[in-house]
Amino acid sequence: MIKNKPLLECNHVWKAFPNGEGNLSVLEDVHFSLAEGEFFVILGPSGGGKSTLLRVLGGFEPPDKGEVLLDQVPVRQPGRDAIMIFQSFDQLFPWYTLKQNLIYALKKTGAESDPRKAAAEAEIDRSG
Amino acid sequence: MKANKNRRLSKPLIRLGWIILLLFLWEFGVKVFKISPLLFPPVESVLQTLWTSFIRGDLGFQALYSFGFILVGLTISAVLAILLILIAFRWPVAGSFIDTVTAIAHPLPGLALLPLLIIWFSAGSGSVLAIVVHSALWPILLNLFSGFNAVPQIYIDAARNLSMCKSDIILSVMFKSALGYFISGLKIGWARAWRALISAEMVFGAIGAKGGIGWYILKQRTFMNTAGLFAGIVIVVVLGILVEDLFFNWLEKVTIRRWGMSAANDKE
Repeated sequence: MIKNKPLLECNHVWKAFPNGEGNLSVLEDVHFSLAEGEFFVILGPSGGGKSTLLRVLGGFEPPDKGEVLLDQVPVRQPGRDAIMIFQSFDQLFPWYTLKQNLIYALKKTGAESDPRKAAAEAEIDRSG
Repeated sequence: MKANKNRRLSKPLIRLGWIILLLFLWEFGVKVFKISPLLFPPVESVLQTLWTSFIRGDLGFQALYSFGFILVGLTISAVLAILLILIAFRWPVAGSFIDTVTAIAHPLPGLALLPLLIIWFSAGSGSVLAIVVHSALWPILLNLFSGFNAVPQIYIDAARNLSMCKSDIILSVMFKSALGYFISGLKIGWARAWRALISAEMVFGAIGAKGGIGWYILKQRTFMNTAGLFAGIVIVVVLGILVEDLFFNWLEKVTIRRWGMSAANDKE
């Protein structure tokens, strides 16, 4: 089997958070790489750092040491090239309707006005 | 849901019922205990004074003058508060400074500044406006601070996911999320400004050309026109209730309540 070149690389990532009496080390030397289409599961107990790892991978938290590469480019902040799906369910803006939420996201990611509406409508139809 | 709607519809009616009861107790007390009209005039003479004062145009004009003043003052305060909060959250150093200034200025009563304001702006509408802005600005700003600090992290993360820049996130995500706090701040600001304005008018009215409702009330005391004094107070109360029940109620209805963001819906 030919291994594809890695799409996502997590290079020796360290992350700690300050807690009362010092630093709570959450990620210690996390190292792996993923190729396109690869299926990867992170398993661990509650409070084990799975979410922190995801937040670092998505660019929401900078790692203390090490780096995350997406397509060979270091991830420094979140962005529309690496949209992340959160665990929380209420990530829609309550001041918009569902359709307005979809249109807003498309607008912010640079889609044109008319296709934007059509795409949002199609998506709502599709999911019912 | 239906019961809820009925309750909301009947709220003004219930309020009206209580007011009629109060008026009845007032009239009843005055008549039964034979209180001197100089101390506590009966309802009908207050209503009569209200009517004639409105016809003469004096009371209506004074009320309108004060109301216009407070509108200008509140608008300035709201715009200033929004500008300051945007600066505070765009640049954290400025935010820490603004936070400290708010902590100093918020508990300071506007009237305590009055002598200073007279020196700065002279005894005229400039000083009154400064007191109104001072009374309204800090509570609005304080509430905006709480609102911005309470923005759910998920909204900010979602916005960052879309590559939105910091200013865009502050303006179009954080501000909308904090709108409920902004409206409560406006309510507190309005109530404080309204009180400060009436007091300031009593001090400044003689100097200013128009005076306003506070000056009107004080003038009635000079002439021992107690019914007129009560008429002025009634106008202050009625304007207060109208702003609170009609304007703010409407504002909440078309925004946070419609979006399911009002305090009643916050309990998760």
